[in-house]
Amino acid sequence: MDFEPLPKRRALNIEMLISLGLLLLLWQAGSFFLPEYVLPGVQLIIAEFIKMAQEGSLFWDTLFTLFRILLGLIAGFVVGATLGILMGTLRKTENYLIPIVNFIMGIPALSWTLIVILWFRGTETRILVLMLAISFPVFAHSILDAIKGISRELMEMTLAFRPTRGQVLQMLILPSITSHVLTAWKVTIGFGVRVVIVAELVGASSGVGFRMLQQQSLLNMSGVLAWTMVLVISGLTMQFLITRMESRLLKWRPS
Amino acid sequence: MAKIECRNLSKTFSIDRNSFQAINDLSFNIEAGELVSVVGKTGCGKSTTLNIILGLERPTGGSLVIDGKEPYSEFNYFRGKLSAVFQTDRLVPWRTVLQNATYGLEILRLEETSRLARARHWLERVGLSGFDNAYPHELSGGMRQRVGIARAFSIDPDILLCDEAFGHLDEVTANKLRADFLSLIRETRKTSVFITHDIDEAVELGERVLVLGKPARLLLDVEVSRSVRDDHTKRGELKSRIIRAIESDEPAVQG
Repeated sequence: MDFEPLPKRRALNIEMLISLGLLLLLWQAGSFFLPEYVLPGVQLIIAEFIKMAQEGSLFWDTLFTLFRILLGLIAGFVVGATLGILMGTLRKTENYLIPIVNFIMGIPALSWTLIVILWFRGTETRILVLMLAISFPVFAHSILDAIKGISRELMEMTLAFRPTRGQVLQMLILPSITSHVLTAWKVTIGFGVRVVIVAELVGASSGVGFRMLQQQSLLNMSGVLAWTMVLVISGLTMQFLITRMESRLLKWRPS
Repeated sequence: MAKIECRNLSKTFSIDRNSFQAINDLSFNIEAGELVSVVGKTGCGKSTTLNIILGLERPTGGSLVIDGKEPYSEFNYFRGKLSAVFQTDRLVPWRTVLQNATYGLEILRLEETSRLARARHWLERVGLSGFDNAYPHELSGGMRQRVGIARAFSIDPDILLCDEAFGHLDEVTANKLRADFLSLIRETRKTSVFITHDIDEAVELGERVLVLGKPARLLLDVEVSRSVRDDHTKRGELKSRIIRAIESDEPAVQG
């Protein structure tokens, strides 16, 4: 790979370390004045992490939650991509389908949570449907936009060589829509991380949400915060991985 | 080698309730191995004619056949037979120079070694060695158009079409590129159609000039013999004949 310094893209930089360090310092200072159930000291949260890691729940519950998110989002991607491709390629289907997609997109995630709880039994089904419901409209929209955005000029240039349908898909359509798809994944992962917890609070017996509820019923603020950080870090890590993939796949773009 | 026969061709576009006639009863013949310029005002239906020759657009009346076959209805017959250099370079932005030059060869499913060899050969012929791994956005306009020319020649087509390919370049670059392009065309003796609004360019490139009115129909069909092209005065006379024909927008008396 070429070495090109791109200061904006760097994951770790000095400014970031300073601002995070400052936040940590403020936090620690605050914890001396506030009771432990409001603002526990950093050392307590770290102790909590160590305990979680030793019990194994840090690994397993995080894995469960991430797995649930990904499975649901993959389902949402399949449904959304199918709809997006239909709308983008078959005339008029957009006019029929877009109102429905938009309507579903307008339903708040919390309403969905209540709806899936009433509609379905097992936790896994509920979470799968929930993730599907909140993510597929995003995927459908972004893929529709991506298909509409394919350059007509490039399409004509390609067709002049008489490609097969498969070649058009592979050589022009897929590469054209890659960046839209990756952006959609970043957005939906953000949604997913926030919403999955609510669903896990109800009836789940594993996962980050379940652990968080446990800690809350024990009035253990350090536990609640430790699990919250697990979520934030997982979400950011996944988005970071996609950004990395983006800069690899889209390195042809002018910086 | 292929010949193009155009009989009473017409094309009307309907947009909502408005219709617009781009081509009105256009007839001409282009023999195999001929180098023909098509000149006319901007917006006179030249590019529509090009799209019909490429098979990207279906005529609304009359016929245009190459080797006795219609490019639109017998789309796949023309696999590997047509190439075009367009007004804008139409390079694929996520492909490197070399990958752009192999684009048509990939569609024709040439195996990789000969694909690369042919693409490199043509890149060298257009004077673009050493830029294989550059992306289009890293090149100047003239260099990009050279890649487009290499891409067009790489598949060794029967017919080469050229649509205002030098129009957006500065004059010095355009002159150089035009001369290089012309020597490649003369050397390979491909049936060539140059579409342009630039009368100088039309006389420079074509051994015959077809002058189109607006909407497109044949106003004038003149030979450009070597004696005319090389003689300043005769060349000037020819150009003013072409200008008069375009200005009057009436079929000129042949002679």
